[in-house]
Amino acid sequence: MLARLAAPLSLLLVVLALPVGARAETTLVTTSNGWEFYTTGRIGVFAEMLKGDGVPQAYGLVDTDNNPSTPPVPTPVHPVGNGGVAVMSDPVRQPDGTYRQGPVTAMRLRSGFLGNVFGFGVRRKLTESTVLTGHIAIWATAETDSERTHYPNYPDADWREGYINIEGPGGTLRAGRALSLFSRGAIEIDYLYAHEFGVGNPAGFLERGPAGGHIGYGVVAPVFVAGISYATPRFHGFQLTAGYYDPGTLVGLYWTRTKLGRPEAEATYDLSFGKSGKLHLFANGAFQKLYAEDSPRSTNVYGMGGGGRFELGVFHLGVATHSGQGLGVGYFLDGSDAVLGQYTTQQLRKFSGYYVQAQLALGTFDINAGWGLTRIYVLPEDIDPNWCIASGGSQPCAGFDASNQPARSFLKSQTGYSGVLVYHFSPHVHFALDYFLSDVKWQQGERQVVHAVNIGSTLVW
Amino acid sequence: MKPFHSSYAPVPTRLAGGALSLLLVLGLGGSARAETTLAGNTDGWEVYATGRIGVFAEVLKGDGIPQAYSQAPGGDPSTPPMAMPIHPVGSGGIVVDSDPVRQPDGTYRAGPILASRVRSGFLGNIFGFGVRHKLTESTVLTGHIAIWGTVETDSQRTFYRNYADWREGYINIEGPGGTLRVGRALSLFSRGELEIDYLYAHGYGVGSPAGFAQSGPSGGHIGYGVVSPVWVAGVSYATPRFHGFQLTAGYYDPGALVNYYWTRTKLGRPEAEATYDLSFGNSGKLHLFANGVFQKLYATDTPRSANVYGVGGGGRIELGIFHLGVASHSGRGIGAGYFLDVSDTVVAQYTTQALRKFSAYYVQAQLAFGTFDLNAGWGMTRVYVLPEDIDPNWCTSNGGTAPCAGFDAGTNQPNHSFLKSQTGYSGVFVYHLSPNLHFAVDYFLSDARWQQGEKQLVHAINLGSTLTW
Repeated sequence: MLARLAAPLSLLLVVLALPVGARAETTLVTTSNGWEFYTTGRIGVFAEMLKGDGVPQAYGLVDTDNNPSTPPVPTPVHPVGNGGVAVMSDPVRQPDGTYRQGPVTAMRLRSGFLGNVFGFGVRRKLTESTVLTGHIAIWATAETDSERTHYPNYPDADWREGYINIEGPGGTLRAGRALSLFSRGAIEIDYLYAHEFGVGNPAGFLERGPAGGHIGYGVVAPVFVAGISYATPRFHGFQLTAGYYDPGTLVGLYWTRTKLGRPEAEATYDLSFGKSGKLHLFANGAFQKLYAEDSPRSTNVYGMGGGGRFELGVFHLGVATHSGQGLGVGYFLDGSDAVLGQYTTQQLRKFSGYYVQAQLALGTFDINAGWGLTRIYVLPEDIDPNWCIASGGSQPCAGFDASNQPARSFLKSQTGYSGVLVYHFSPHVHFALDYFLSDVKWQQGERQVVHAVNIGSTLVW
Repeated sequence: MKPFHSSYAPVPTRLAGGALSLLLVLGLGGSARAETTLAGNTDGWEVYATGRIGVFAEVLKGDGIPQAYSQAPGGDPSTPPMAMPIHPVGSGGIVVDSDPVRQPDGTYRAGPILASRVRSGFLGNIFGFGVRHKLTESTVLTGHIAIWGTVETDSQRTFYRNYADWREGYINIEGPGGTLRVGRALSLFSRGELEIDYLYAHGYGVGSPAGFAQSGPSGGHIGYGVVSPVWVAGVSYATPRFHGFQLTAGYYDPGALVNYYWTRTKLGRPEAEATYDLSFGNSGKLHLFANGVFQKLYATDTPRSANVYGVGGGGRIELGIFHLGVASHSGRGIGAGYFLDVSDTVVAQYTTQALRKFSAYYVQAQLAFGTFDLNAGWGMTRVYVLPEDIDPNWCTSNGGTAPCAGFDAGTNQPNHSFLKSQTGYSGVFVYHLSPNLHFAVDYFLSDARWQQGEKQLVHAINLGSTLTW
């Protein structure tokens, strides 16, 4: 059992780019002067079936011919904003002759929560206790973009990691492209206790993956980004990691300019107890100042997160939460009309997320079950056309039609329920049966429910 | 992979190390790589790896892209004329979002720049991998691939695929009769200039903040005295060295100015470089080079053609710790940054589609103290004005039936101000902690000017490190 627990943890260390001293890796060669070359990686593929609702479209009864003697007809009103599971559905003919999205039945063969990964590194001891490492990792997906059968594969290769790491008694210094710190604890829970060998929510189904796990459904993902970070040595279980990262913007969405980079930090506390007891607590945060491109406006994106993991024998439990402004639904600074009042004031919306994940690690089998909710808070200008005047403007808020109804219905929440059964055929070959229920709601009452069922396998080295 | 030393290797070793790295990165002689053998088998095949990882924190401070204004009279003579934007500048300079500054007409112009990124330097992250086998006692067959990437994400997106660039993939046969190379590798025109930039300046640095707003790698002195060769599919042959002389000639996949009128080709592109190498004394070294290129281009929809050509030359001299490189190039349609670098700087896009002439001058000095390098350089790329850029009547005087397009009907002023020159001043301090780990402080001043008098000055300061293997 302990070996089973150790295996996924060491894989996590590779994939989530944590301290490099304990990688799941294969040494290729050690040179006479002490340089070690190693490789890591994985290949996975899943058959995925989706069934549920298409992206919803609300209808209102409108007197289109302005004739009271004829009955009003259903007419589409306020399309929904970004969010939900974007997938083609059967068109359903409406009374006005147009078609709306109907039920979804769709399938793909695709990558899971992680794509195919090729990792390569070099390592050498600088002193007896200080290790220098250079690590790169290139990711790709099993599926082709947008179901094309023949397409150049260059967009699929994603040079996701490339960093230099110096780890010693004084801590760990990392420079290069690696995982950022905000919300790292939440994604660790998702990876370790749920979707390491699974799929989760069908993110990228229409184009390409990897899939989403609980990302966007209780978890906001950290990102792979250029930066410099320093982690203190552990002191009675405590560790602080702080980093400065390449600035991020909302590309194409008003707040497109930055001046300085983004500080992020995570504090952790680890405690082992008994034969198999383990506690891991975390708290993290991020801050990014953004500027408008063509006017002297600025705004702040910030987020905080916290939670913990608890392991007692076969039972593992993870709990995480986050909140902040302008964070994005899926990942940090995930640009969409869910993040800002794009058609009114460009104001950033506030977000919060809640995530609970349980695992029974029975050795050869894992049984995992999770629930997560991401909430997006309504701005007054989303629903009140006169808010702009009341706030000192000279015009009603844009983005409303003549009847003072909002022209769009923005994302309100995404709730996910997940279940994963994993069979570990060996430490290197894993099979999984994976279920995810996506329940998405928009501000004006629209709703989409999609069920995703996956079966697949993963090879790791 | 060289061993660590408690004190850094002596200067001759440092020179050799730099040269080996250059051979790796610039895709030169396949038998002299800085590489580590991963495996060899009884059939005589050897598998090796090379590569690097680097990251730099960069801060830019200076001017935004300039915008000229003129005093335009309103309809009422009793009110003063207003400042109105005229002729936006063409491509060139440092493209970075800047603080908007409100103008009298209520619009905003690009104001001062303060911006930072964490990014790759002059070279990106590189994963190189190859196989090698002796065909005879003196003939070696090599297959080599190299995949490049950057540490920064495109356009400051936080989550976006960081495209891998399969920059090299070639077969090399090297023997007493010379070296034959087929596949995707570095082209020959202006290779000598780039070697100077790499060896004496930015091998572990950054240089010009090329790609700052999107993704790198950065530019070194490219576009500022150096036009870069390109990684391209081709076939090349290098003669054996004869009393220091070597001639390399190649035939490359044709290049076109995509979406800029001259979009069609028929035949490929011949390129060649002649070099002369001489070693003297204990640490003296001389390397001279001359190179050239020719590409014929055709218009897509009319029976017009144009010739792109360039010649370059220069040399490197090393005398103890002092290294000096001088280079120059000139030609037509070659581009400011790299060969056939497509932009409105290259083509008279709004008038006759004629190709502009270019010239450049580059001087680079290095003091290689062993553990430290001090590098300083200056370079200038000039773009020559076409008569149709500034004279609206040039088209009619040359047999046309209408004045040149691209001019304002009322004032006869050109609607665009095209790039005139880019001058760069660079300084790099490199600390070699070991043969494999390097730290650098890097400064670059970009001085870009346009035909109608616009000017942009940007200072770039970088601090970072590079790991090579």
